[in-house]
Amino acid sequence: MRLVSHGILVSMSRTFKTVDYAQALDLTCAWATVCSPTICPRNHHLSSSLNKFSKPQNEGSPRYILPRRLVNALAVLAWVAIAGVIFWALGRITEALMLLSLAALVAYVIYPLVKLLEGDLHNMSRIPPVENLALSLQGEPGMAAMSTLFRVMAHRPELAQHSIQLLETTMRTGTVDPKLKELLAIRVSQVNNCFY
Amino acid sequence: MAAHTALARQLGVSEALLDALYRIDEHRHLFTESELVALRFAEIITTGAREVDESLWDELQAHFDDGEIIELATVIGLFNFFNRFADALQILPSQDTMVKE
Repeated sequence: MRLVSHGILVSMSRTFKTVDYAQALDLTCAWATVCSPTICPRNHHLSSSLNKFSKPQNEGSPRYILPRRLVNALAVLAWVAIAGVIFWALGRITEALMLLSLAALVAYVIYPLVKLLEGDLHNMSRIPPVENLALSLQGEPGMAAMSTLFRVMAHRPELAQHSIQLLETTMRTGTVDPKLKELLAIRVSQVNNCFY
Repeated sequence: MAAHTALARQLGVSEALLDALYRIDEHRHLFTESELVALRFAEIITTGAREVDESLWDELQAHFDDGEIIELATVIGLFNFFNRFADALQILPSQDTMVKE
């Protein structure tokens, strides 16, 4: 346990350069004293040799062969763990991206269908237009746009017919420029926010 | 979009004129004086017909005779009728006129 903690701290000091070796050793000592007060590398032989903060001077000492290997192994282990986490995260991101593109594909495929249904719904007026009805709509520009309206009105044919006649008389007779009348009709529809 | 009514499209009114109509104040130069008066008459009848005041009436009379004012009021009233009729019964322009965009 002590060796493991020591190894981790030292490998941290090597890979990240944030904790220098002496600090690592101090930390290990502190922990080791808590765990088992009898053994601490510093107490044994390092108090004088660590005045330079980077590395112990007795590198060749057999006592350090095992920890050094362990340190290397742990460093490799740590890097493998980090790589594993990165790969895992990349996997999750890729998964999310795959799902998103799948959703986009599905949306692309069903879009025409939705549009079709929407069009059907939008073409439904509350009262259905009377089909196969010979209304005298021809001849007047703009009348075709209003054919649905008059076909709905044609549930009362006389009302529809007279409305058409009134519209034709209004737009065609008189002395006001027909173009101005069209402008007025369009402007009224704009002000009313009406699609007609 | 409301500015591009099916009726306007059917009548062959240009997009530019429609936009001008939609923002008349920015495009006053495109219309004659009498057209501007008639258009204001249309707007006021549509939003609140009792707001037609004496000054507007005087302007109308300066450009149109009584018969012509009847024509204008009839066009404006008739299309208000069509608009309300279509809105209440949820009637939209027939598909073939919508496709002509």
